[in-house]
Amino acid sequence: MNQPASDPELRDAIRKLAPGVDTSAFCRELGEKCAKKKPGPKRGRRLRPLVIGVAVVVVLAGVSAGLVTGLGFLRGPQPVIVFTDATLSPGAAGRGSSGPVGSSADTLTGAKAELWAEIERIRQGVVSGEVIFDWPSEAAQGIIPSDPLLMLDYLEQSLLRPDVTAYLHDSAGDAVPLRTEISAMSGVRMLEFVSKDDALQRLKDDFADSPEILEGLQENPLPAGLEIWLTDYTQAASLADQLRDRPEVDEVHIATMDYADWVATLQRLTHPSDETSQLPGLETTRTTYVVAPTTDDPPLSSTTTIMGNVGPRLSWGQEAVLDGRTIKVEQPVEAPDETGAPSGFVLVYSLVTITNTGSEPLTCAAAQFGLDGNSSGSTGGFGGPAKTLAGHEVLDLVRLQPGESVKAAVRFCVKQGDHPVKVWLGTRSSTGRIQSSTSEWLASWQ
Amino acid sequence: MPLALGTWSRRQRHDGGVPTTGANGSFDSFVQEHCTRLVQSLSLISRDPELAWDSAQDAFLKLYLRWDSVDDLRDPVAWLYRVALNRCSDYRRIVARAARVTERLKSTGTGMWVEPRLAHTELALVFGTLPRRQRTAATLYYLADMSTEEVARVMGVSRGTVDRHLFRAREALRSSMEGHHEPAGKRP
Repeated sequence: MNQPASDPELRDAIRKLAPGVDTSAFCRELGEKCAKKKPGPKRGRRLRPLVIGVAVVVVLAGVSAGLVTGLGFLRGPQPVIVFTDATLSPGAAGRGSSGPVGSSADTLTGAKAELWAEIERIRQGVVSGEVIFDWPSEAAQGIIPSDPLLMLDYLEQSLLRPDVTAYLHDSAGDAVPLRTEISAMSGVRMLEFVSKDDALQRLKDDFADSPEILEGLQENPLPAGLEIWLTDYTQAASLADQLRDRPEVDEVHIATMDYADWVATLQRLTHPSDETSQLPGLETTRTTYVVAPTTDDPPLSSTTTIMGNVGPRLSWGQEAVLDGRTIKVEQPVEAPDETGAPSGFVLVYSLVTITNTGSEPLTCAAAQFGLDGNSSGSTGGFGGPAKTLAGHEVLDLVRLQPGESVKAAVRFCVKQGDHPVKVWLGTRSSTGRIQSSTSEWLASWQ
Repeated sequence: MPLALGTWSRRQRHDGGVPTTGANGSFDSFVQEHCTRLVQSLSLISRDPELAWDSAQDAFLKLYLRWDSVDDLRDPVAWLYRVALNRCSDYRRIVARAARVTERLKSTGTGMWVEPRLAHTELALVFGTLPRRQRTAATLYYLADMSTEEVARVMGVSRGTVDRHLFRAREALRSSMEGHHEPAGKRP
């Protein structure tokens, strides 16, 4: 693989990472949704501020509850941090908003810096293949994101938020004397004044996807605020106590995150890849194979006895007879002359043969296949410049008419060594949409 | 595939923003013009094609519902991307998705599940581990073909911030690739 040395080369390389999109299916699904929701008069304009306030609280509480639950699970009996403190608080930085100038990682200290370093270590370790997450066993409880890297994103954002946020009475105006006083305090690294208008704009940004919630606002109910970053975040409580005594200040919030505890949590959830990485339960699952489809899935034919863990498992090369199609998957083998896998990993491919035995066109995509095992991720047909592999066409996205079949290669990236793997087959929705990561799985080969 | 949903009444507006409308100016053509790049961009940013699909659907639907007043939007494409990105970041969706994954894990007894993600090549692995804001900036710039000013509008940050994210993303991508590149002959 050539290194993209220039912008155009990097652009080309990144574009090759993008998955294919079934535009027809997308438009069809969107068309159905739009048909059900005719544009009408804006109901939001009739809403009164009180109702809007309730709606905002409810929505934000929902976000908060999800975070509390998920993070609480990770940290067990430890105190829980609500990442949305800033969002919940009027005038504070919202979800996904960028930290202000100066709130960079370079200025973090103490346990904050350690947590940042830990996040970076994990990111780099995942790239190099030296670190493996133990995340799935936690995700199995169903209340945290199944993608651990997303959690790293949220942790990272939280580290850049202010240590102390003081909300001002409207009568305080711009609170210039107070701002001047705080700026002169030792230990204050940065102070940012968030006006009432700025606070409202942030709220609007947070609700850009639901603007009707805020459309009825007759006036700006949000207070101005002071966001303060300290050189030593452990002094936040002390500063907060001082600010609470000031007449200009209505309310003070401090970040309550236990950064050191999060460092320990992340260390608990990861391990070096050279440790034993035999997957718990994987060997025993060799006698199981198929998940029952949900009611949304296409019905299975009577020739397919697959429900829960009781059905016969499929061996490599064995054909699955599903509604409207037959599919078989060959045992993965190392991809010849294929480079690009990270250190310690190797690219492999399975030959899949799919026949449309139904009466309707059938959309098939590499993204329907997943690899489960000692891998860095299953890839389906995403990315990769090569269109052929060992003389076989690489499966991307094909449309099979009734009676047509395709035999193609699906690539995966797995850790080197001898270990069991499975290849799973996902489903597509009734709208023809390809489902991947969260779909139920129709069959597996091992 | 035509949607036949409405007519793009808004006049063409190219005030330095992202090119917005299709040839006939209808909502249909707007969707046709932008849906592929939007879904692809969200897939790279979120590392979850299904979440990307859902978020893009929601964003287009939001736009459709306010199509009559689309003139009020300074830059509909930037608005579309921003709404979709917010949807992708919606923690409630992520938590709900995790619950569905759980059901599958319980059914199979599998001890490990690795989500399909864009981990096919070395570049994909590196790209997927970039901090989200760097990943977002790089995706919008390189894949969605936006200028840094347009990226800044979508992300709600300054151009300087976008430049910093892009710089770091480039550095990470290139240095990581240099660090892990191995000649084909040395690979077992």
